[in-house]
Amino acid sequence: MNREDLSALVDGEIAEDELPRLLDTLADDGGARRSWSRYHLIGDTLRAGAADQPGQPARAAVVPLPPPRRRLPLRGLAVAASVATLAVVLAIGGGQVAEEEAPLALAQGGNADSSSAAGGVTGTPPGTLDGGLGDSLRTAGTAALAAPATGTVADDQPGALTPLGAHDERLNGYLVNFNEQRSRLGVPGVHPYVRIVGFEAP
Amino acid sequence: MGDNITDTELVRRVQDGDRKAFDLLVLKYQHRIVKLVSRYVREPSEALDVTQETFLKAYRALPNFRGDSAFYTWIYRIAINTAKNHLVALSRRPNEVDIENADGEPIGLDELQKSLETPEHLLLTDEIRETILEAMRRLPDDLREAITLREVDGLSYDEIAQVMECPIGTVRSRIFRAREAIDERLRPLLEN
Repeated sequence: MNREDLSALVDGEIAEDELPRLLDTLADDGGARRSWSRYHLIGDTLRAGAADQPGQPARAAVVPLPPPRRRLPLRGLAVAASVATLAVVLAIGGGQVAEEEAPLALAQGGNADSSSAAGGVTGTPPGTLDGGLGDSLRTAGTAALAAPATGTVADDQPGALTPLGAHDERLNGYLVNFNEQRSRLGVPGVHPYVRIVGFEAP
Repeated sequence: MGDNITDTELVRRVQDGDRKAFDLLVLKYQHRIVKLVSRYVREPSEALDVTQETFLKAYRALPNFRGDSAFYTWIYRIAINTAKNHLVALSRRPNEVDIENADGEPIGLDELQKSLETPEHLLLTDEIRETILEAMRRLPDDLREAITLREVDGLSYDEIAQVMECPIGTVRSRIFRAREAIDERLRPLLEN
């Protein structure tokens, strides 16, 4: 018996008018009957292999997965996201400070990127902070920073978040470093430190 | 066209008295039935006995099978009931394996019982599984994809041809070659 026909018969992919002849042939061919049994065993095993892997796509058990892709350098992204979160806190806290206590200034100039945003948040949506916090913040933190926030700071208000230079870098370095060490130090959050560092500004 | 039309034709032949057609049904479904029964009956030799009993009951009842459900659905229920009855019988007589004897069975069943295959290879599941999966891993991508779409995803040849963007004849050939490549590794294991 033609084994390719047998394979198609196993799959029920034989023309109806051919079926009786093939079944007759199969019934009388011992080798074909053993192949018929093994072909079904193969299918049963593949399906069982798939079904025995709960929580995975069925084919994962029988189709080798592609080699794992090289992991992205997520550490930098995590730091950027942390800084972005801090920036939101800073923006909100800064606005409150501006209204309640004193103007908050965060250093001035010195950053090549900051020139276009020297006026603070000009041309950006409410709650958006741009300039002075580095490229990673602008890319990774865009969504978080774009969220509307109370205490929105406009560039013509007291306490506007003016991009600044050396002090800005020192502050950011401190915040990033602190956030990386925070869990090891066992301190819960950064907000008090943001306020402290913020008041160090001239 | 589908799997059921083959079963329907085989069942019709059995009902017309063709016992070889029943052998083909047994060869086709024995692995699935053993696996099913083994969920209830842990002892391998008992699972084989219950499997054989299932097929004997199916053979006896097949003249009354009207085809309202698929053959496998029908024999699946017989297997479950047979396994449960076996467990009930064991609980009554824990030191005995209570397999019904042939009392009242039509003439010819003894011969059928002898011809029913209950080989030990039905229980070599781990080795069989590893052999088949290893053979799958070694297949060329196009063959592995074709047989996976058929056996795991249950697609028809026509659907596979659309997915793989190739003629149905190519699908047929790829699935056949995949089976042959796997069978080449499987056959020695079963024959030994």
